[in-house]
Amino acid sequence: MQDRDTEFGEFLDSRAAVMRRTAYLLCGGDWHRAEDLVQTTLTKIYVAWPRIRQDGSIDAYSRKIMVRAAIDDSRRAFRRRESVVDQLPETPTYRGFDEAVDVRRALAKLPAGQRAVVVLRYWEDLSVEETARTLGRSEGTVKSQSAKGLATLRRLLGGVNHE
Amino acid sequence: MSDPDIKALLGRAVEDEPPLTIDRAEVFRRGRRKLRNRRFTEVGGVAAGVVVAVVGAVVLIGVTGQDPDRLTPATPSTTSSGPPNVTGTSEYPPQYEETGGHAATLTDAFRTAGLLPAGVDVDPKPGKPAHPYFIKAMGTYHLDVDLVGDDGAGALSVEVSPVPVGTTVTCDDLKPSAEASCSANRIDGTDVVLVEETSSDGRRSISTVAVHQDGTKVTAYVSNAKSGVFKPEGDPPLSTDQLARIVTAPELVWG
Repeated sequence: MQDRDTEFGEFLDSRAAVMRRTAYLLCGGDWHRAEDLVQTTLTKIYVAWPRIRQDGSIDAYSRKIMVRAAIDDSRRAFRRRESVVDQLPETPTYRGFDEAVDVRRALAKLPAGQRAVVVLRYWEDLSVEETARTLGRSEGTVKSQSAKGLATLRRLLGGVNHE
Repeated sequence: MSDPDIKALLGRAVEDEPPLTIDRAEVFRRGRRKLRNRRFTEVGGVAAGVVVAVVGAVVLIGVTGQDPDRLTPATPSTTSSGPPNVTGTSEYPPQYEETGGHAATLTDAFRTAGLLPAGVDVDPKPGKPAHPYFIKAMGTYHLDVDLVGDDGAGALSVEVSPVPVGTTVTCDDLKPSAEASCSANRIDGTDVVLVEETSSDGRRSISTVAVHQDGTKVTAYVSNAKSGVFKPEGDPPLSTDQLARIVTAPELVWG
């Protein structure tokens, strides 16, 4: 238990912030939900730690858990008729705030599956093959969802300056 | 938009990142609780499996059957691909824990039954209630609290969950480690199994489980390690008798 706690503690300290950014994008722009997702994911990693550490698959496992939890959570939110699109509680604090809001709104309008594909492919830099494996979908589905997701982002962000 | 453009675009969305407020101690506490619950759940699962075989009609975990906590780890990205080997259900634990409803009823019952002995107090945490309280999470009710007593300090976890009526537990079922001592007792008509364990890092713990006649399973665990403490000392804040009183309390009912 001691080794598990020490090693896992180091992993948590080094990866939590990075995981939260990915979680934030996956859930369409809500820092509170992102932290919830990360906390759930970290708990599962703690339980599976000896096995996934031995396999050398910690990051892959954490991505898989987090992405699936995010998709399920989005579906639950949809069933509850809650919209994440309008939840922007943070206060503007910097010049690029409007652009960030636009990106968040655009992301939030993507279906959860497409959003996950876009985040894994273009934020986590996973290949089509790796993304398909993480999501448990075919490579063809990943390619089509990626194309649709990007098309939607282009349409929604047409007016944003990407310089 | 090229790939770098998209990455930069996504990066803009996270630029206004607030400070990280993930509760490190809570992650450890939940993780340890899930490890403990897995052992207890496996016990309940064996007993329940017998019932299912007899009745021949009930699916316990779900139609697709796999515990999402036991998802096969993803293959490292450097290996060749194969078909996805994950068939987990979409039923992940709720992201937002509930303290109302039956969780609140259990909280009241725990307090009014006086299950914390005199001289043992809650070690308060910022932003948390200063009394033991149940939450509904992962489909069962949990109470997790750090305690400080005259005889020691540590963490208490209690879980209330349902099992088929008639489920029993024994020391053999609990598979205590070689260093642990286990005893099975009958208290007020309820079978109670207690496991006492001391690990090499100084952690001393007592685990108890009881199945009430109505099918309510109550597990309780106390250790001398408060959340976030890795080198514990001294005794747990509750004795075996006090822990047994919690798991046999008729007030703790699944609902």
